[in-house]
Amino acid sequence: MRKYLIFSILITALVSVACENTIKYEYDLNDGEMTILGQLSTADTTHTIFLSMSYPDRIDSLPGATVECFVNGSRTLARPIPACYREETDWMTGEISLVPNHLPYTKYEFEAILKPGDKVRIEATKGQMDVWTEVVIPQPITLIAIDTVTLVKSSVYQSFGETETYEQEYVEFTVRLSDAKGTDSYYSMDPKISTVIKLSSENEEDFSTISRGPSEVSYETFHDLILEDGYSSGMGDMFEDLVPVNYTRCFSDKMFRDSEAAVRLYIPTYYFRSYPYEYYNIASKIVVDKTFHLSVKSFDRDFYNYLRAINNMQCYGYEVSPIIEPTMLPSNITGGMGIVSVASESGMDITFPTEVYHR
Amino acid sequence: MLALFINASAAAQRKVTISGHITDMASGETLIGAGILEKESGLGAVTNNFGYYTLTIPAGEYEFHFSYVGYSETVKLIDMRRDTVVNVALEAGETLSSSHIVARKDAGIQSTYLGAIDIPAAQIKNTPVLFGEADVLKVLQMMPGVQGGNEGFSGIYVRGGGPDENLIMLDGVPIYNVDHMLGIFSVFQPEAVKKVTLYKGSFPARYGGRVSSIVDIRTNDGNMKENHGTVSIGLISDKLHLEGPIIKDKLAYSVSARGMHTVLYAPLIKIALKDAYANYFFYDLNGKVTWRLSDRDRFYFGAYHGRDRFVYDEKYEGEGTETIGSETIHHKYKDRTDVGVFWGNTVGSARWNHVFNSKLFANTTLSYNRYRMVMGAGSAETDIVDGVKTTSRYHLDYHSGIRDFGIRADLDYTPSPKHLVKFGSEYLWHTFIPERMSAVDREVNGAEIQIDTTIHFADPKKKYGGHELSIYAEDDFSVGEHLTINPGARLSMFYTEGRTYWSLQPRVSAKFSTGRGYSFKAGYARMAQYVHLLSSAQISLPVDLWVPITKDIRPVTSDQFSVGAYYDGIKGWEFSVEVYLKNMRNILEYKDGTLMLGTSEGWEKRVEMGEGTAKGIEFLIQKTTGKTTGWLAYTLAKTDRIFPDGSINNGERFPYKYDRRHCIDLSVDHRFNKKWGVNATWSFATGGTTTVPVRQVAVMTPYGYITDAQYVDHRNNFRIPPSHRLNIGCNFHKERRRGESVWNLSVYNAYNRMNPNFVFMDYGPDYDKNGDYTGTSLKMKKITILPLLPSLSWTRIF
Repeated sequence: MRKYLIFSILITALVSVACENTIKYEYDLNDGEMTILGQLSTADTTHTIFLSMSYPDRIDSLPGATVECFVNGSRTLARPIPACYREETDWMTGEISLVPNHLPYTKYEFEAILKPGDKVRIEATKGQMDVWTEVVIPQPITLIAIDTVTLVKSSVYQSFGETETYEQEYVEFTVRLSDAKGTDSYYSMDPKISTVIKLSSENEEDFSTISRGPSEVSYETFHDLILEDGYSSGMGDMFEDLVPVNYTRCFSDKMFRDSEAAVRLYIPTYYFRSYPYEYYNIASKIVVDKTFHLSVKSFDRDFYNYLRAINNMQCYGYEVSPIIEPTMLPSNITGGMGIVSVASESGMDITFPTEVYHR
Repeated sequence: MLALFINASAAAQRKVTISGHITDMASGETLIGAGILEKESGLGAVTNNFGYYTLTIPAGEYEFHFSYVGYSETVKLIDMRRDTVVNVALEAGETLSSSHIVARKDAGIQSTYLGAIDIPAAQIKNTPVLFGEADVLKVLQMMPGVQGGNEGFSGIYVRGGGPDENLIMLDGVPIYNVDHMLGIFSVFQPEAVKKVTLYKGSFPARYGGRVSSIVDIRTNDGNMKENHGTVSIGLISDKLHLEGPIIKDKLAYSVSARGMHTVLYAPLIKIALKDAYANYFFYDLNGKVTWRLSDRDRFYFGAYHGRDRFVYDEKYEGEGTETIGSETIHHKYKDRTDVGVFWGNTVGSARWNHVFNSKLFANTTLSYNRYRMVMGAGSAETDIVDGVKTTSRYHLDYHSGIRDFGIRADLDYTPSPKHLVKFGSEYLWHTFIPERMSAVDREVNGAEIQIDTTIHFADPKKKYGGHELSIYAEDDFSVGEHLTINPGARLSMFYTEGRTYWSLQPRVSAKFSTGRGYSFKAGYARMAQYVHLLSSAQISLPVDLWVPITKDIRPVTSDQFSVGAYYDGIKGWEFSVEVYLKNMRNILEYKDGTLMLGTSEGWEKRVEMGEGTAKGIEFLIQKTTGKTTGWLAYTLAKTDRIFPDGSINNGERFPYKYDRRHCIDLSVDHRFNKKWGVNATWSFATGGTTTVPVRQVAVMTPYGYITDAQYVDHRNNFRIPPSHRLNIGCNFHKERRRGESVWNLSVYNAYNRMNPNFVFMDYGPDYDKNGDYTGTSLKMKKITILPLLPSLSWTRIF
């Protein structure tokens, strides 16, 4: 029996030896690669490029680089944007000083007018590093029409202990699209709302006009096959957190190639009917005009794949985990990393009926 | 005169058939692969999976040699004038001898098939393994072309295939969950196993349903002569095996039971841990009844039931008084929290062997298989305040499972010694229950029910059905003395969700023997698979889910080409080398960035169909007879995957996670004398692959925000260090008045190699010798679960 006990103790001790060891893994902490990031658009004239250095254990900003943009061969030099400063108080002396915000990138800006079909080349150099990318701006999608209707959608939510039916009033936007012909196309849809508030006094004289936006609004797709692009809508699914949702709002034309399609997006009505309480005491009449802007960006396959990858990371985190398949980040940069996209943008506006509030 | 000549000539050419069963003399157990040989003509045959043989020869007087490895040869002189039934009982030999039967074997060098290996039960019992628990799947891992998954666990990966691509059958019934203790042991009890056959190359047409391998495990029929048994006490589990006649030579039983010590000691553990009882155990029960109704009809009734179970039960109880102002309140309370999880298979089968005539043998099988995983967790509280009782109870239930009903008919037709035709059909009705979860919330205050809610988190009736129907035919025929060809085909149909998938799977293999011990084989096989395993990790977890193909997820198919050269010209030795190339289509992988938790919800959106290739060369040297037996296997292999649509690894080819370039397995078993025997195995395998981040990188969201992320250049970009280990075992046999005792001392991982089970990157602090912090650095770390582990077991055979 004593031998058995000794034997058991020995086994227990050996099992506890099962342990963690460091294994050989060679890397060079100074092995840096330049990363270029940029989302350019035909709708803008000022464009921003972000440069950074990627190392095995960190990311650094990259000041002092030369960034050039060539549009159909015509060169523009980008200017660096100085780092922002923030106030920092010395806890010993109480003195306040301005210190630069540590950002893991450096911004560069340039001006250019971009059109569909243009060939855009971005080149960044610093020391021995010379990285570049070339993008041909794709053709835009055509927005044919937008119809709206207000309706109520019900969602059944289930959670521990409760089943709840949730009703929400939405404005349903039916958007008719016509795909860019003769090519595989990739899009993202960004609805925005801008608001103009006119404040009037008792004698009906306008004394102030406040403009807000355009600001992004979130929307639901409720299983729209095109907009969900193979992902879940996230609405009412049992394992909502386990199923990836199309956060990045990009979609391909694989379901309506070279033809027309109607997609539906749903925006809660409170975005359009929000009463401006903050002016209630200072104006006797408040007039609110809201405009809905729908912008559809068209970009290339490289950026679509990049957005898919970012979508995965947004769902489950930006770090490698043993229970999540790792995400590969696509790149269109030669000699470095990152992505530069140049989108051609189409848009359509809808003006909503003016709302008038009297005190 | 002419008529007389014709009659005489006809008599000389008239064919007669000898047929019957070959059994073990001591137990009456049928012998699979035993041979009958007529030496003068060189004609022979071997017994099928039910010990039945048939040999058709011209009428005349012959000397037939009946033999089997480990048994003394029996010679019978028989005047064959008409079809004759001869049942032969062979006596176990004192020393192992080998019989060289040139006949149609189902596996091994002599068979027409490539990559077909027979593993006798003795080999399984003698191979030293973890905790002294002999394990079928761990012996299979040591065969060429077969790799283990996670170090020390029992998953098998065959010729570049995944863990769900192996059809593991117990007496012809597919088993879905084959693991205990998260994969450390398999569910098969060596005491109940008679023979294991592995097919990984040119598959016989009678098998289908998986694309990488078929593992056919046959269990003991039971001793027809007298009662025998074994009792075994090991480090982890206890075992009991009993077999014997119910009616001598007519009806026999065989039962085996295995359970962790914690099953037996559960009542004691409950007493010892009365307020916080926790226990984990597994057990297996095998039973079989064999009924020899006549020489023409035999019935077999088999059952298996196995479980893994974890329970946790914690209780609190108390009472007291509380004074609020002038009021004194007396209260009592009882709290209880319990968690219970169990998972396992229940299998039942009934088989009927019928000999229609000396040339036609039929086996009909009805089978039922159920895998269940049930998890329950809950809490209950009872408060009595001044005699008013309040109870609240919350309980959560989760369960998933599969249920199969099957019927199959297999027929062996031997029209002449040159042909062995096998044909038949199989129907499987699958019911997949992916996940059902419900919660009960109930609160009663005095006589008043305040809450009484039951919530089903998914449709409680949700299930997926699948109907799989197959027909097959193959003919193993000889062309001249040296060439054997086995053409065959399997046609299968799978119906699910209103869609029908058809698959025609041609199979062909050919063997050319030079007659001097050398032989060459070539083969081709197409396979199709209709079920998938959604696996969460590199170990077997109970929440791993089997799901059927759907209307959008197509069946996996594979085409495998293989060639081989063999030599068995030295008595007791076998040498083989095989080369294979396998292409797989519609194989599934989780997409980039997918959470791998075992939920079937939306699983089709989380996986991608792609292609895979596997190629390799396998060498095997085996010594099958004598005091020293064993084998040396070497595999050089490569396997990769590609998902052209770009959703995985940017559409680029990447190595499979179990792509191991080199594998070496050595197994030696030596019997010094009747008392002492030693055995040892040494295994080496190049590490598999895993994915690690190679740098930090800035990324941009669609709205232009910059954040940081870990950058991975491609999937499976890091090769885990190689694993190797030596296992040794020593057996001491001591004869008793009835039977014998066997002491076994085994050492797993004898030189304590720290083989990696998991690796991960760690951005952790560094410390100097004095324990002072010196900074932070990036490290790669490995977790080793199984270091050196000795074990001792005692077995009493009676």
